[in-house]
Amino acid sequence: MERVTSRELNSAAHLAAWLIGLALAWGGPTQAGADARPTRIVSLNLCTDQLVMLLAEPERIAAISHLARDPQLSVLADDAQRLPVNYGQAEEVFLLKPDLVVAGSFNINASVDILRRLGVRVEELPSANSFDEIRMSVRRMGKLLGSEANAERLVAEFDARLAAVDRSTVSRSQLAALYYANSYTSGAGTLAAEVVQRAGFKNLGSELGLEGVAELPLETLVMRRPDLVVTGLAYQAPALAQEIFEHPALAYLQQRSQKVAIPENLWICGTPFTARAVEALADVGKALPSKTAAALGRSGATAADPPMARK
Amino acid sequence: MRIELSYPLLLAALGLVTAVLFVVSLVTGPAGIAFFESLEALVTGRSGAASIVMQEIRLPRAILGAIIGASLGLSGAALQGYLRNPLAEPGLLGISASASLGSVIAIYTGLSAAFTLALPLMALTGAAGAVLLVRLLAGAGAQTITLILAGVAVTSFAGAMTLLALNLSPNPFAALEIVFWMLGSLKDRSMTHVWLALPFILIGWAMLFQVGRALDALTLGEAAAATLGFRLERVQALVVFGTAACVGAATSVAGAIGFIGLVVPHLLRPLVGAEPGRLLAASALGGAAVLLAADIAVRIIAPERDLKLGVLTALIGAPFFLWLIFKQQRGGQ
Amino acid sequence: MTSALSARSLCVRLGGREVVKNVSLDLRPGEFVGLLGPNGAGKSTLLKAIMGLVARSGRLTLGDRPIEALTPTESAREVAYLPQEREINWPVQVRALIGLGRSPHRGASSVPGEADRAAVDAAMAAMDLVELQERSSLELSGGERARVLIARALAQETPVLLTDEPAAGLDPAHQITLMATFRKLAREGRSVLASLHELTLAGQWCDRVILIADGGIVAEGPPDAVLTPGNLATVYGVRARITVSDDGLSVVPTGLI
Repeated sequence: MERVTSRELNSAAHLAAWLIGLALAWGGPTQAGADARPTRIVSLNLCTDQLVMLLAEPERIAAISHLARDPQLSVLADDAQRLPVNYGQAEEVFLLKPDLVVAGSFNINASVDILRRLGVRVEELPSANSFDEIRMSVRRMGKLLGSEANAERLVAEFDARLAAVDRSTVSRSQLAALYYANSYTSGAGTLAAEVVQRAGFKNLGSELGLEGVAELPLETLVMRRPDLVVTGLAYQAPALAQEIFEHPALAYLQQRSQKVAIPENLWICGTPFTARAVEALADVGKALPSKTAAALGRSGATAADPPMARK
Repeated sequence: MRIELSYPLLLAALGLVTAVLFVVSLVTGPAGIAFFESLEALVTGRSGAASIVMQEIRLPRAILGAIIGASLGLSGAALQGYLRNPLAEPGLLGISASASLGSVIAIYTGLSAAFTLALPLMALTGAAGAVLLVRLLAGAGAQTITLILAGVAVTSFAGAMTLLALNLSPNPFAALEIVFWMLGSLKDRSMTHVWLALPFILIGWAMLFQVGRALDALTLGEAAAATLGFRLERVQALVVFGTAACVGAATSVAGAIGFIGLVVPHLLRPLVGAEPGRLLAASALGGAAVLLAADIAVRIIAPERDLKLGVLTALIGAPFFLWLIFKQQRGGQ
Repeated sequence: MTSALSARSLCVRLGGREVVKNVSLDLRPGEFVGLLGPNGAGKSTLLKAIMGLVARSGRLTLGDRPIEALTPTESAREVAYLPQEREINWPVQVRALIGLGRSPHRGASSVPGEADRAAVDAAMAAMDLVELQERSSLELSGGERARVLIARALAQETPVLLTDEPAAGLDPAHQITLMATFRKLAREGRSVLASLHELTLAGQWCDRVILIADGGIVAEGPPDAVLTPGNLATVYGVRARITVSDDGLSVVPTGLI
């Protein structure tokens, strides 16, 4: 065997280094590791869209879901117009060569499965159903995106806004009913319920023992005579689901209760924007005349309407 | 077949059953108001929220249950008498599905928001088109299989077009509402719906009740009926437009509800001595009773959810329909 | 004497073919006329043409009024028609089925009156149906069904009665009863036109016979004048033994020409 010359050793070392470098580069996105910040982020879910837009610079976002552009659903709809969108198809997402894909737990499993098998890094964030979960989501997203500082700042702002909500309304404990298309409400364990309660109201859905988003029969709504009926904003295009808002029984209720429409995009996703919903409701609460509501009895079914101040 | 009950007695009995079911429908609901309190709230209107629940939610639901059920029973009996076929009914012949299509076009294009009567009128048009089409395709006195196939064709087409129209709507709820239009529901209907549908339903009834004697004569076939003094073109027009009016209007506010027009006349036929004319009023009352019962049942079976009426009517009606077909095959009628 | 029913130059085209060619006939009150002819001669079509069930050209008068001047109900009170197809669509009670013949007389009311009940009773008696009156119409034998449908036409109590092959499927006794009924109606001053295949029945019971072939009238007159060996050979293509007796003409086909 010949002796290896030093020059040959040098070339070999260079070659090795070059090969290692290639291997690292070609290792694929899964090799990115926690050290490198993702620079091609794709979001498949409305809620992760908004968190990504809040925490990452636009240059790092490869695509968000098309739902982010719907102003009915997304608070950042205007910003979303400037970003590329995807429709959740595995093919289109893969071709974007993302180094991080974020999805909600409700995303279509088939697409997510294919992406993972193709070696794409997919992180799933469950939807946030409470303020605590909002804080957790924001922090986790911050960690995934390498934007921990931004995340902490957002959480701090969120907490500050909540703290600023006038606590004096809390003791009044008036009854609010959330009422959505198709006669649905939010019961215990939902973000909307916590918003309502945080603003100082009792939530009819929770009082009735409902969990999650559940049907609230119109009859029950009328009989409970909430002080406040909270609806979302209706779509322009007609559908039967929205006919309930024109029901004469609801009109009766609205003569006797306060009504407010809160944009659903504030609580469809648990984001720091949800604090705005708390603020809006708290303001409405302040405007309601204080009555000895407890004396009248919340579950009254047969008592005739006492004379009340018209709004 | 011997007539067991005299005709007036039969009508009185059916009327009584319907009235009882009407009252039961009025007191059924999640609000949990006691029986006498609820009736008091309904009549006096002085019980605040309870009165609103009774007058604006329960009452329209009960009224619609009765008049829609009556329309379905009546039109089923009329169609069977006119086509001389015991398997004819608005659901199977695609009339309800076509009325749904007309309604969907009226609602989801925003037409009915601009012009309220657009809804029942377009439903009526859809229904009339279907009756005429079935008549055309099948001819009078055609074989059962031709008639049913014609109905299948119309229902499929109307159903597909309905779903297309719904999918084209920008409203995300629209596509899911196909379930309402195909299976029907009386949930949260208001007096507005009653006033919208009632005039057309009454017109339809007025037309259909006029053909009783002609349907009796048609027992002997078209030739004999014509020579007995009946104008068959007029009978056809009354059946077509009468069915279109009442089934169209009914579907426009409650969606397509099937099988009542099939089952009710069939069950009552032996009790009226098979006379098609007598079957009209009996089926109207019977249909009202059946639909009221079904609507009560959906509220008891699934109190907080919106179980569609069509689920119940199909659960009973579809096996019944199959049994009828087997019976016909064996009887070789 | 004015005819009860008079047809002039009736023509019917079906599917491009002339099925009834320029037929003129009269039905006078008090006569029982037999309409004879081979299969496909146009007997049924002629009857339908008179009843207005197929498109026709020509003139038709009932009594002294043109048929166009009458409403369908008025026509139904003047002429009753029994179709060849023995169609019954629903299992209606026999009595109720026969009662359908009273429709033109009942006006808007559907409650039968005294006259209606009497007419139905008479029709049932004539057709020997009293025991069957509560039976379901679909549970009858062929002959019973035929009698029930004839009874319906009888119950209509019209001055003119047109029947298409009423004797088909009846047993001999009931055939004779039927013929006797028609003769009785004729003696009461009504007119009966019946299309028949039973040549002997026509020979023995009809006052007059119209023989049709290929859509046109070949011969008409008293039975013995029309039912001749020559006519039978030309029109029916059969040889027959024709015997005359007190009962009338008896025609027995014996073989083909």
